[in-house]
Amino acid sequence: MSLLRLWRVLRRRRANEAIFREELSAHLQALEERYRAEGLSAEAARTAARRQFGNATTVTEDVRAEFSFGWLERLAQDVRYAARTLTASPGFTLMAAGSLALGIGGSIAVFTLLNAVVLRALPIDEPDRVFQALRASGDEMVGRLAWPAIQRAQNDLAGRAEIAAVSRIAGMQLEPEGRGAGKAERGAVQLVSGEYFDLLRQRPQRGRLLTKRDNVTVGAHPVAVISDAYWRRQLAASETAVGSHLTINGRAFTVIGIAEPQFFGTTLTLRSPDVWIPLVMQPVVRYVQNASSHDGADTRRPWPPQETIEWLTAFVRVPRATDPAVIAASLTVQRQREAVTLFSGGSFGNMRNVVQNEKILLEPASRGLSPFRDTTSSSLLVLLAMMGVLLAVACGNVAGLLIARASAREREIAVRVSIGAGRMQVVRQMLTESLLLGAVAGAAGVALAFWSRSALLKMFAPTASSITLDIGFDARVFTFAIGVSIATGVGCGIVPAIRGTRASVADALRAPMPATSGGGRSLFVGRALVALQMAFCLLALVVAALFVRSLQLLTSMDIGYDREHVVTARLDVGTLGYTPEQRQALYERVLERMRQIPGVTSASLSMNGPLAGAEAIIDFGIEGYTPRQGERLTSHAEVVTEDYFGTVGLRLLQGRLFGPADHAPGNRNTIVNEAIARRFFKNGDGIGKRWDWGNPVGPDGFVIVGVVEDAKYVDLRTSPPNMVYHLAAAQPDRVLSDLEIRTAGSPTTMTAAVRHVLAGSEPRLSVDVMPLSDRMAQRVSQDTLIARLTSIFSGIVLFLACLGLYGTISYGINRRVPEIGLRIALGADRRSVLRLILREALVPVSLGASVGIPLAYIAGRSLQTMLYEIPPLDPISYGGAAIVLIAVSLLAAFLPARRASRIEPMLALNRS
Amino acid sequence: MGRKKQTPGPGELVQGTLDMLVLKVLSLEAMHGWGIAQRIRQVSGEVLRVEEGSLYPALRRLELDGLVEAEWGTSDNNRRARYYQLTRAGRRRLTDERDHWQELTAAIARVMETVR
Repeated sequence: MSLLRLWRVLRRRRANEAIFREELSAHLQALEERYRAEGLSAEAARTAARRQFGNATTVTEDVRAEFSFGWLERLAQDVRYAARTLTASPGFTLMAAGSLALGIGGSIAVFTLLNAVVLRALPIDEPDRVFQALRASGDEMVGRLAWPAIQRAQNDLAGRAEIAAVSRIAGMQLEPEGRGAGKAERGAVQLVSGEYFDLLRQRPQRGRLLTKRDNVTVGAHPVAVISDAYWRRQLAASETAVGSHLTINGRAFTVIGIAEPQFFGTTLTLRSPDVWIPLVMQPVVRYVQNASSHDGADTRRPWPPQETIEWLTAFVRVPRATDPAVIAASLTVQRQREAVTLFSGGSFGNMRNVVQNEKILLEPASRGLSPFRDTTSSSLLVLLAMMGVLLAVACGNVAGLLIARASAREREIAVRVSIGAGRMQVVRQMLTESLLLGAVAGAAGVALAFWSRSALLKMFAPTASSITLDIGFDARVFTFAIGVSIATGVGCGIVPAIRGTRASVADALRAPMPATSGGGRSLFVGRALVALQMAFCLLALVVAALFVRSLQLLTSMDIGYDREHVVTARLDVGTLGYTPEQRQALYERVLERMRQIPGVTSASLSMNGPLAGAEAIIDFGIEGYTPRQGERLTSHAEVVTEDYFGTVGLRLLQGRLFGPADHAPGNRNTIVNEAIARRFFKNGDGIGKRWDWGNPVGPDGFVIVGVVEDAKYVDLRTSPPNMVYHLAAAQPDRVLSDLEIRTAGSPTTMTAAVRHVLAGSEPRLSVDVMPLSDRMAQRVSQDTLIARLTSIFSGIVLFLACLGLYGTISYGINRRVPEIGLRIALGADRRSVLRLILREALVPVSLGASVGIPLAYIAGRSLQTMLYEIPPLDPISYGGAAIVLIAVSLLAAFLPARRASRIEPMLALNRS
Repeated sequence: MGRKKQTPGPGELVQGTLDMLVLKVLSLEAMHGWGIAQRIRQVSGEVLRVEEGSLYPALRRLELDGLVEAEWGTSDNNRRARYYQLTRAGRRRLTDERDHWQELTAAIARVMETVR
């Protein structure tokens, strides 16, 4: 149809009715006159004219048909009819759309988070050309590099690819200045090389961004780029922000530019950086985290020039014409060369060992790096699957209702089919109805998701102070929403539509009301639906049970520490800028004040602390053990004050604890954990042996004087790694960041007192006080969340499935009232009727449950990585889920069953 | 949902042919629907009787395709009638249709004469 014709059609459509009516009557009149002229009477003339003209209605329709669009018009007609049907029964529509909207809205909300965390690429030019450089040796992949190595790579690749370096995002004290400036607060800072913004093809919103010239001399470039969010939040989006002063960890910087609003760097995290500074300013701001250091590294001196401190992540942008593998190979060759030329001396034994077998790989980094992507994405996928199950069960309910309604409309449909509506047309119209329902539910679901997504995100990150992660609705989310709505509409409607039009026209027109034969068929479909729903229900219940059991095992495990009596506090000592002597004085002051608090049994300090999330790993060499070729021996390391083990509750197994004799700086006495003793001293003769930071172990290595029990230092799921303990007094330049206090009573009551005393002795110190059990809860926060959410949603699924069961049984009983009445009249005991109904109800339930078991097994297998020591066929979970399912189903079936048993036989027989 | 008769009986017209006849009638003078039917009947010597059921849909079709224009006027017995007239595009179409028809009939005649 050409556009011109379309335009004419649209214009003249409405006028056609009136026009043709006039034309029609004029034509008839003219015919009438002709017949009159031929001699017929007025009556006969009119009849002859009408006969001559033919069927006026058909002609009118034919003329009207010239104005039709064909399929588009039919669709509009169907939609109008469907809307009328739906608004005619508002109760049904509301309930159906409501339960569907819950499932659709939940899926969309989860997908929004999934999109933000897993699917979306960085908002930069050509993100698929950005890679992360990784060092691979054997199975291990490490992402950290030293700055000199990156600089050499830059020279090597000059022109062929771009490289930039970034540090981890660190928390630092930020104090802005100027009109409208906010208060000092803890902000997120990232150190980057000069090429960073160029590599990401960023332009400044105001001022300028960092360049290579800002990253030349250590400590000589106090310039900073701030994020748009920080500018708006802490600088009131003022015009004078560029050029103003910004104090970072007590040192003066100048703001030189503001980044574009949508730019958040290359790390996808809850709190994106507020400030970017050149990495040569590392010693100035005292950035001292996330580093591997080897032979000869001195972490107290500036890091950028040191070869053996690895603390930076390298990003590489490869031009479209180049193959990243070629660049990676080139970098590998260079790395091998370094191993030979730079690390040839004996003192670099470890470095050489590490670098020699390394390959450099370029991994795609189009989505940016993310510390929580993997754990969060698995949780989100589980949730999405759960939502899918919920939606499927809700669809089953709606389908059942539609089938019931279609049965009631059998006569209407039969009549329509008989006057020429055509089966396909009726099927299409019924499908349109369910698609409209799906669309309405979809719209409501989008609104629900929009409203609930922030709450969902907050559930995943309860401790985050402010979240800058973008969870907006983009094209992908809307496509998903539309797809789910359509699938829901089709899923609900396909069975009723096909089933409802299969009814024989003659039968439907003949029978006055429910024919028992038709009832049998619809009952079977209803029961099949219930069985399917029950299968999904069992699946959901088992998955929830597995997660709950896993959480139970996680929270009840022995972590080594004494959970019930320990309070911990994280002390941000680094930001104070103290000298080592000032630090020592601070430690003594704090410990002294802590011991004076009533209820405190003992107090200690440590470098990282129990379950604090921070860990230090060293290269490890031990007497009597030579590592195999390519084996890299490591150990965790801690620095503690004397009372540490007693305070946190770690038992001594062999030898002795630290004492006054070990206090001299440089003292070599250390304590190791059970894991080391088990692995290297099978005969229990570890006491007195020596170990050192890497091989070889010389006579001035560290001496083992005691063995303590294992504990879960950082990760709860893995078995305890090697751990060595140094005495703080013997290592005076180590920064101790964790305070532990043993209490006589409950630790929760002590936290306020601890906080108060700490604030008194050091007001500038930023602290984070909580009982050790809270830290434990943080470690399992994801597991807790998943267990809770899957339990809640499996409960909803159970409710919906039992609603479906209730509906199907009630409906079936309504149809069988005469039969049941007959049974009772013939002497059946009421209780036996009850039992009959319940037994019949159990059939689809148990059928569904048995289909659900293999489904649950498959699910259990794929969830293995998330579950802690729970086998996929855990009998307690399956048994519990099955019992709950059958019990609640019986309850749902009981009510209609009781009604059936109370049927008065006379009334029932009269009805038929 | 138009009815398209593929095998016309005597006196009945295939849709395309009807369109052509209507265009031809209108090329001589503007006329209303009833008049067109009468004219075709008269000129063909009562052989071609146009069914109203086919005429009006055809007129609409021609109107929507832009081949004829319609406007209200007064007929000879002082009645309001809708008069159709040919547009320029209609005239062009008429020429095309007539040429095509003449080719068709000539070809059919040749076949009928050789096959005896």
